[in-house]
Amino acid sequence: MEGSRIPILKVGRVLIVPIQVDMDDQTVMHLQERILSELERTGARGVLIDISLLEMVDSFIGRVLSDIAAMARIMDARTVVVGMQPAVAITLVELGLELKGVDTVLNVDEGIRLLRGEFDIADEDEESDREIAGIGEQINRA
Amino acid sequence: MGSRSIALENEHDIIVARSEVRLMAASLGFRMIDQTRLATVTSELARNVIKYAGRGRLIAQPTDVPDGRAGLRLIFEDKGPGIKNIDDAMRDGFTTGRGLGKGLPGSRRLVDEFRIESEVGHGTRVTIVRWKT
Amino acid sequence: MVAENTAQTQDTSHVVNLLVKRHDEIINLWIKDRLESGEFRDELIPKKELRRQSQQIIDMLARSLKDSEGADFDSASFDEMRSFLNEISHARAVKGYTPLENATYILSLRNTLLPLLAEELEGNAEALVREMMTFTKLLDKMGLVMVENYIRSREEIIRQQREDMMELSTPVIKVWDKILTMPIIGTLDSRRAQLMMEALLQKIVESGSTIAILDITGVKTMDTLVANHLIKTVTAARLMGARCILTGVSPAIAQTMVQLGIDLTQITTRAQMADGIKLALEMVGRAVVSAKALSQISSAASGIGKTSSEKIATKFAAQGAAITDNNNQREIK
Repeated sequence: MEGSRIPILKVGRVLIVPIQVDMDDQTVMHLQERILSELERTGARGVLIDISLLEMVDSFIGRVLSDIAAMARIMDARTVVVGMQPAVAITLVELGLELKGVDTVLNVDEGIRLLRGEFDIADEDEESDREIAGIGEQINRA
Repeated sequence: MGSRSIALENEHDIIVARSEVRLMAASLGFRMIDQTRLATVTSELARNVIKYAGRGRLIAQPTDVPDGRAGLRLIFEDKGPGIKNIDDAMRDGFTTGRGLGKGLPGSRRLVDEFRIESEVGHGTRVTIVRWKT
Repeated sequence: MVAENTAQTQDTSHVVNLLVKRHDEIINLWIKDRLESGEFRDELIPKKELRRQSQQIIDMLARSLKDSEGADFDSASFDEMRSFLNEISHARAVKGYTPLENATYILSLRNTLLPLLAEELEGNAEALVREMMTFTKLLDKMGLVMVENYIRSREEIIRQQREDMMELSTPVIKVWDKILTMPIIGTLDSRRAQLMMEALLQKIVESGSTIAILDITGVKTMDTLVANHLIKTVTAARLMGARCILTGVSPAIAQTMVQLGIDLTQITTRAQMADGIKLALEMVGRAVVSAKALSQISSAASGIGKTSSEKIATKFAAQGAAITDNNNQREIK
């Protein structure tokens, strides 16, 4: 798996890691090193790991994900895993793996919601303010 | 489809083994969730072979029972140090945390039949079967 | 082996000749026999179709027997016949024929053919016996194939019906943005519970729902296996980033769950589905308020005076009343 490198992108203060291939153990370990080194280099406050294309998560990968979350926390960054496939979730439950310390969310939208401060985008309070203002306008026209 | 033998000589073979198993399961008509279970259990048990014995092999056998049920049998063999206490090995799990343990109880929950034979100094054989639903 | 084969090659040669020579006669006699037997059901297969099938079988039989050179039914020369038999037995299974009717159709060919064969081989008892035996063996095999295929077809139909029923019986319904509900009704067996789990998790991903309300009001009893599937579903959903709310837990089931040692602190439960929906809405940051309250809140926020907000509240109420009236009128019609 040397040839296909997993990209690590940066949006705002969040590292985004889209995992697109079945990874061998070496690639997984290497990815862990790269994420931590990028965290240090950029001072990012969040890591969003997208596993929506991953068709299998075994105990090794599960443990590494927990390790990444633990180490990132020490570096004051929050790790969010995104897009776990149903078959993967069922298998992890049967394996008895908990993915300790890892926040999991359904999709990138939810991930952004969780890390919103770090993405520098409008947050929910602003949204509801807009909603109220909108209703006020409707009422005014009535 | 006949039996297939896959060498487990190094870490990279783990990924080879699990894609082979997934392909086989798919062509045997296993559902997606069962393909994933088989690929996962292959990853677990193949890694055990590499980790504890250095090398071994996987034999994948499509199988039939008289009542017509189709399935896949996977045999993980090695000539490694063997397991001293199988009962203990079957009891340990990920809950003890930090990467120790062979993860056998978890693997067992992914399959329909699970058998482990081991002799200290001689080697280990883990045989699992998953039936098609 | 060789000697046996040559003997066998001659074993069916007279039958083959017969099938070719008295082709039409055999078909007519066979069909007549079927119609007179009272076993043939006109309403299921029209006579024309019966004739077509019978003709096809006779033709194929003659061809295969000639090509096979005495080999038995398992050989490749009978492939065409075998797949035709599969076809018609499947069609009959779908139409509702019994397995007996299915097999009898083929086996009855014996009654038609053997008297004719006896005529042809009069005076050659040895050849007659030999050919009769070989032909009978062949027909038996064909009859068994029909039965086997029939059974397999029926099982496939039943399996499909079962799946359809399972799908219909556990709909997954979107209540609101990001909120799904799955009302579970009827007896839950392990297989159904498994399929429900997979369906729910799949729907969660497809709809991007972060909350799933599992309502078990309609579930009468629960055993360990089913309870385990329920826990598995909740845990797997959690791993995926969705939360489950369990509603409609009857006292009896609550007791069972506690006795089974299920850790209920891990699952959010509510007595009624309505409570579950209210909680779910709150979890996604929504509240259900009356229009009046809403207009009061909005006016306060956007700075309109009290009188105006009262006017607006009246307007909302009037709108609501008008909609209800409209519905009532439609119903009366």
